[in-house]
This record gives sequence, structure tokens and C-alpha cells, in this order.
Amino acid sequence: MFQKIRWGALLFSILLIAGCKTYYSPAGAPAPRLIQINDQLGSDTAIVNYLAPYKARLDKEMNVVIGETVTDLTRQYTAHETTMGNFFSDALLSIGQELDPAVQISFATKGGIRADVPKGPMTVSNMFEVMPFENYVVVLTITGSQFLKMLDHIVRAGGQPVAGMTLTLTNTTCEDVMVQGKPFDPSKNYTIVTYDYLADGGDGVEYFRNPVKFEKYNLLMRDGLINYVKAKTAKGEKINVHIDNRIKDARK
Amino acid sequence: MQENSRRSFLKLSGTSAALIAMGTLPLEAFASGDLVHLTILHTNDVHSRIDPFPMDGGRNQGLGGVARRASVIEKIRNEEPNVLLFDAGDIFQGTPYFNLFGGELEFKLMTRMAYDAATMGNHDFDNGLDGFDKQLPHAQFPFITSNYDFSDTILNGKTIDYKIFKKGGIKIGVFGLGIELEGLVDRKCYLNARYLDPVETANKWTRFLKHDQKCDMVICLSHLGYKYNNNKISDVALAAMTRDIDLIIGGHTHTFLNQPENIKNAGGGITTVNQVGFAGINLGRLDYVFNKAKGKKQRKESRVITIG
Repeated sequence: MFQKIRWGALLFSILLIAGCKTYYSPAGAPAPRLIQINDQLGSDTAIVNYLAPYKARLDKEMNVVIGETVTDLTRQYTAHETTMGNFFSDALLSIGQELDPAVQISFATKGGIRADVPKGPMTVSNMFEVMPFENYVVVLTITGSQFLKMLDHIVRAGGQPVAGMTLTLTNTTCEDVMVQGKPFDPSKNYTIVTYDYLADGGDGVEYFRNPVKFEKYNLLMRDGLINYVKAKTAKGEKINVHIDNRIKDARK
Repeated sequence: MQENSRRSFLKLSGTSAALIAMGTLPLEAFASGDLVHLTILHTNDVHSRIDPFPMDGGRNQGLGGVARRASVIEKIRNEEPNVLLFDAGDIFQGTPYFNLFGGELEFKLMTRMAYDAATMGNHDFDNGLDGFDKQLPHAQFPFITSNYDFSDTILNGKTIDYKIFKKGGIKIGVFGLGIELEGLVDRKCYLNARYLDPVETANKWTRFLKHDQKCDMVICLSHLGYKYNNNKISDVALAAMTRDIDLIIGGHTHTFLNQPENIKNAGGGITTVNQVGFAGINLGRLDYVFNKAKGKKQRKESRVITIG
């Protein structure tokens, strides 16, 4: 009898330990759970109140309408020319020529333009989405051979956002390159506007290193875009960008 | 008689386990004084996402939001005795809040949520070392950056290599690893900051924390990225190449892990790797129970909390 109780107690202890062990699985075998928390958990009122003045200032600055576009400004990575690319590069050319009248062309890359803007009112927020990075406007004077490398890049990418120049893409190269209406001359230097990320070699643009002349302006690309749209609006103009065949596609 | 008590014990045991599993009963109700419960909460790559994603038809619409995250964290702190809250970097950049306020608000909100520590992500360099330094006074929590040598920069002495937390008698050693900056971050944004080898750095600090400081648990806050198809160092690779890291809280690759990955490490033990997406859509939660007497981890349980 006594023996039985002892065995019982032992069994009880084993079960107690076993019970714990079953539940407390060892390290390395976590029991994961996915808990979705919906609105019912609510918001921390203190945080909401704390945020309110920041949010008010943000909304006040971001929701400001600065102009209007009559067409959808869209991007397409595989396209040789897009409305957003043309808007961006036209604005960049205008910004550059205002800073330095010697500027002949603008150059950007498809990957750096980060959002579309549908036709209708344009807000500051739209410009932040299009250009979220803190990139500064740069004016470069480059040699004809550097220009040729830029053309190679445009060919490889199947077109890049440019303004102030026209060209025709062929399967392996490009033809009919015109800069400000004059045929491109590889023996000449050219003055271009871009932004520091590209001028410093970002996005595969290694050919702008060691330019003839380099001038970085204390103007954010994004602020340049905002100023450009505002200036149009002040003149009673809307953004009216179309595919204008500045880059023709003769690839087969 | 014996049969009866056994049966009723089993029944109780099952119910209790279920109640604990449902989170309706605190573990302490069942734990003897030997068990200590530790809850690790974590975020990564929040990218200045202070408001929830707008209701614009996008994939993540209505998800995230600091006010909701704060409320969830507070609830858990009220329920659990020992909570630690970490962030694995890329606090900055992604919404106009960062462009407008330079990261001030991100740090202030993390301070209000009482983050215990964070590490630096590559985007935390976006306004340069100056830009980060300028916001540091708003962060009342340390940045742990063990493999960035800032000694020749403005951040010298302003970040730390490790921190030891004591919770319910448990010693938790934390170090932090950042990603290689060259080629990823503009040189003028990190200047003379030196990147040190993550594996060597991890070995150095785990040895120190585990053996010299006798920590019960070692955590790595990492912005290396979850996993790559090449030889690039990642959380998964680091886990397999090191020993004595119990948990790697990761970031950078914006990986949504529904559950953490447990990896056999170089010492034959288990290193848990977790990462919870980006933008504060999720809050990671890992519950550990320690047997204090043995100083040994018994179990952990993880949940991903979607803020939505």
C-alpha cells in the first residue's frame, strides 16, 4: 500500500514535469502566432495629440496645390519616352538654364523618378513622391567623349529622360543626335544639368567623373520642381506635357 | 481514487495550458518563483511611417501607425512583467515627415514609446552624420552600433557597442550590427565612419557578453538583411557562422517572416532570426520563459502583431 502511494507520488511528479515540458517547448521550437490587430485596439490618445501639430504642419505644407497638369504624368520603365520623364527633364532643363544660361541639355534616369502624377491639381506632396531624395542640382561641362558615353547609356537603357536634345534609337546605337537644334559634335564640350547623385556616379553613371567644370547648387531637385510648377502657375500656365518624340525609336 | 486525482490533474493541466496559450492568464499564476517571463518586442525599417498608410487602394492601406503601435505596446507592458522594445534600423526616410522634420519626430515618438535600444540602418545616414547627430538629443534610448567605428567622426562616443539589460534577474546582453556603407550610402553622408567585419565583431561581443559578463541571453540588433543569394553577410549567414547569439532581430530587406527562423549555429545551439516587414505594419513579439535556477532558457513563443 505504502509502496503504491510512493509510486503514485512519483508518477504524479513525472506527469507534472512532463506536463510542463509539453507546454514549455524547448528553445529552438517556438510556437509562433500571427495576431492581427485591427482598429478595435485603438490609438494612443496621448500620441495622437502629440502628433497633431506636426501633422497639421505637414498637411498644411504637403496638401498645397501648386499647379495643374492637363495630362497624366506617368512612367514606364521599358518605354523610351514617357510623359513623367518629359515633365521631369523639361523642368530640370528650365531649372538649369535659370542657374546657368550656358546649360544645353538636362539628363536624368528613369530609376530616379519615383511616382506618377495623375492629371488634375498638383500638390507639394506629389513632388515629394516624385523626388523623395535630398539630391541637389548640378551643372556640368563635359567633353564630347563623355557625352558619347552618356549616349551609350541612353541606348543601353532604351531611352532616359532628357531635354534640350533629340535622337533616334537604333538597335545598337543612336543617330541624328541634335543638341539645341544643332548636330552633336564629339570634338566640342557640352554643358548639362543633372543632380548630384548621378553626377557622383550613381545609377550606373560613371562617365561624369572628372568633368571639365562642376558646379553644385544649393538647390534640391525637389524644390526646383516645386518652383518650376509654381512659376508656370503664376504665369497662368498649366503643365502640358506630351510624348513629343524627342527620342525616336527605330529599333527593330 | 488515485485514478480520479490523476484525471482531474490532467484536465486542469490541459485547461491551464490552453488559458496560458490564449494569453488570458499570466504565466506567473502558474510559475513558481523559479520561472521568469521575458517579452521582446521589435520593429524594423519603420521608414518615417508615422501615420497609417493612406486609404488609397494600395497594398498596405490602413496598416501601421505609431499611435496604434504605442497603444499595443502599452497594453503588453501592462500585462507582462518584463518587456524589452528594440528597433533594427532605418528609422528615417520614406514619408515627408522626415523631409520636413529631419527625423526629430521619429526619435521623439520612439522615446515616448520607451524603446530600449536601436541600431542604425543605412537610411539613418541619409541626412549625413551631422543630420543624425542633430536629432540624437531627441532619442532617450541608445544606438548600439558595434561594427561601425565612429571614432574619427562627429558621432564619436555618441553610440555604444553593447548594453546589458537586467529584467527580473535575467541579464540580457545586446550588441548591434550595421550593413556595409560603401556603395550603398553616399560617401559624404558617412565620411570617416569605418565598417568593421560583422562576424568578427559578433564573435568579439558575444564572447564578452556571454562569458565575461555572464549574460543569460545575447541579442543582436542587425541591419545586415535577412538572407542573400550570394556571399554577402546576412542574418541567416551570421547565425550559422557564430555561436551564443540567442536572437537576431533583423532589418534592411523588409522581410515579412510569419514566424522566426531557428538556425543551428556554429556551437550546435539554436539562433533565432526574426524580421517583421517594414513601415510599422507589424510589431514582433517573442515571449521567453527562463528557469532562473538553472539560468537556462526553456521556451519561447513568438507572435507577429499586425497594426491595422
